[in-house]
Amino acid sequence: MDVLPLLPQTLADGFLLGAVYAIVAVGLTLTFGVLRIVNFAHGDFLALGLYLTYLGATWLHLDPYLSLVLVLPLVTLAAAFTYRLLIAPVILAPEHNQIVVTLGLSLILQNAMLAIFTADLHAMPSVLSGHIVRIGNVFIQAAALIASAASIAVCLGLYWLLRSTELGRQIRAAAQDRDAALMSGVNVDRMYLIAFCIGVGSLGLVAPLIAPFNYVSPSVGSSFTLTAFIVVVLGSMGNFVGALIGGFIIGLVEAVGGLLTGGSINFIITYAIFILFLLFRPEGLLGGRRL
Amino acid sequence: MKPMLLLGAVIALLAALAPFLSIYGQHIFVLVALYGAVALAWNILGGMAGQMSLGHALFVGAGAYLSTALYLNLGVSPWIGLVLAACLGGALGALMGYTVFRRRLSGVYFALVTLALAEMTLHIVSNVSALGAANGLAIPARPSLANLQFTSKLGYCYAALAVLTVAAIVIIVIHRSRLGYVFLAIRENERSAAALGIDVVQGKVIAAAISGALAAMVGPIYANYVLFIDPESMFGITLSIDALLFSFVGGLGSLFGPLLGTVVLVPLTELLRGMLAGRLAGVHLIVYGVILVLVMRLAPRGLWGLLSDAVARRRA
Repeated sequence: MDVLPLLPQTLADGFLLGAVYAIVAVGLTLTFGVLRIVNFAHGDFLALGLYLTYLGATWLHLDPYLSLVLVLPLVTLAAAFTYRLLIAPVILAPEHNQIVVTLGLSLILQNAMLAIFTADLHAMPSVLSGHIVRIGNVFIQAAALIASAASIAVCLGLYWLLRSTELGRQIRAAAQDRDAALMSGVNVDRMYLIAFCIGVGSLGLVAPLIAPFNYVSPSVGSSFTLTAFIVVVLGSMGNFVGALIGGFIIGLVEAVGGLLTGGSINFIITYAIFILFLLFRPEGLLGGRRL
Repeated sequence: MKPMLLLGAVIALLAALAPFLSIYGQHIFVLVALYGAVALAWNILGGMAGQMSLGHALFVGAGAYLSTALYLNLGVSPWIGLVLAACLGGALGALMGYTVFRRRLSGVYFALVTLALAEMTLHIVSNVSALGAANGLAIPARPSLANLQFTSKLGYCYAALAVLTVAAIVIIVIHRSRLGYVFLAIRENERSAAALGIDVVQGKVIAAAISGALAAMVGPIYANYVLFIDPESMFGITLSIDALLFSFVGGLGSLFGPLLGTVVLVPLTELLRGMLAGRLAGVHLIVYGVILVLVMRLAPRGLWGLLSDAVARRRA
């Protein structure tokens, strides 16, 4: 098979996928950069958002885009409760305990969704689902284009928030040095709460946007968690811009790998990159921890 | 020699008890012994040496696939496969430990490497048609001692108990030797350990090798018990999390806490399965999650910690 004519299409697919990976990874890197907690349940909140979108579609007959007004606040609320009940109590505990708590949370969320919704795949069609945009020989789903554009916009918005606002300055202060921030009058606990709500809550924004061209099943979350980890390590843990770049790299690698090899050999390539990075450059592409 | 005598007595008691159990009881006996052995193996690296692995399924799966592939293709007895599995597990553990610990990866980075290695192996095995690819391998039922297959569950009880005993003996021997102190020193403070002249990297590599070898020994017995292995159940993250879960709930770092965790949690799982009779898949994992979070909040030293505190109070 001659792959060259397919390359523009593949690159476009990879770029669109990468933007979604980027926003999911930005949320993970934000919670890690600020709270220093590795959240193994990150992707499960995305699955939660997708199921809420699905419920909105079946119960209230809402288009996924309309259900955004419900899903975003609900997922953010879930994040706030999670922070208060589970994360805040272990914020100073040894790293092992923190990992185990978020793993436990992941088990609870994933299997609660399995018990309630079963393992069946559900689609959440939107009025936009069938629309295709054609640019030259490249065909793009309108919904995927919207999701990618929104993801990039949210990433840039969050970057602006962290860099240029007083709230962002306080969050960065809490991230850099907890004790010094406390002594300067920063309400560190509050900053942690806000950072966690933004990092996890952003998934409540992503979920309705990717719903029109995705299926939801209880295991969606763990695959996104793994991908987000790969992206975050690639772009340096806690590094905002790094997560953005890493997202696009992994998106493109998956798309091009899929074109060349097909099937699940693709995953092997991604994991191999991940392991090599962990071994030889655990500090990631950009190095250091910068929010 | 006192712990060895105690161990011998407990094992003899369990062995004497097994024939009087119902078939269902014997099934749980086998599961507890096999999962208990994996948890004990995990605890050597995760608890005693303090390096938390999220990929121990890699060793169990490698052991199961090695012995099964040798038996199906070359007719090699699973008993030889069992020995080879332990060698492979030890080699994999040493190799993994050497590459990872030499790069000074620890904490969450180590957890992620182990997770990624297990997941990558899952996808590799899923693509190798000689290993049955994603469909897995079925082992024809030909019960005989040479095939590591038994006509009754009692045989499996003893096979599983034997592996558990090996793991327990290894742990006691480590604990009483210099190696036990090396692991402890590494876990408590790596820098101080290095300052005392301990080769930290070497210590961790040894822990990973022993841990991998013991975990891999469970694979062939499990494979011949269920007579079917597939990539998802042998290399998937569920098994890796089980090993970690039993250890944390039972008591991380204590010698036999992980076994206590298994003894409590595995029968609970089976009980829940029976009660729900196939409805509400995954409920036992919700329960696991809740127990895990509660233990971290209320008793970070696990059930073993609670128990030893209670004993200490009674004596005081």
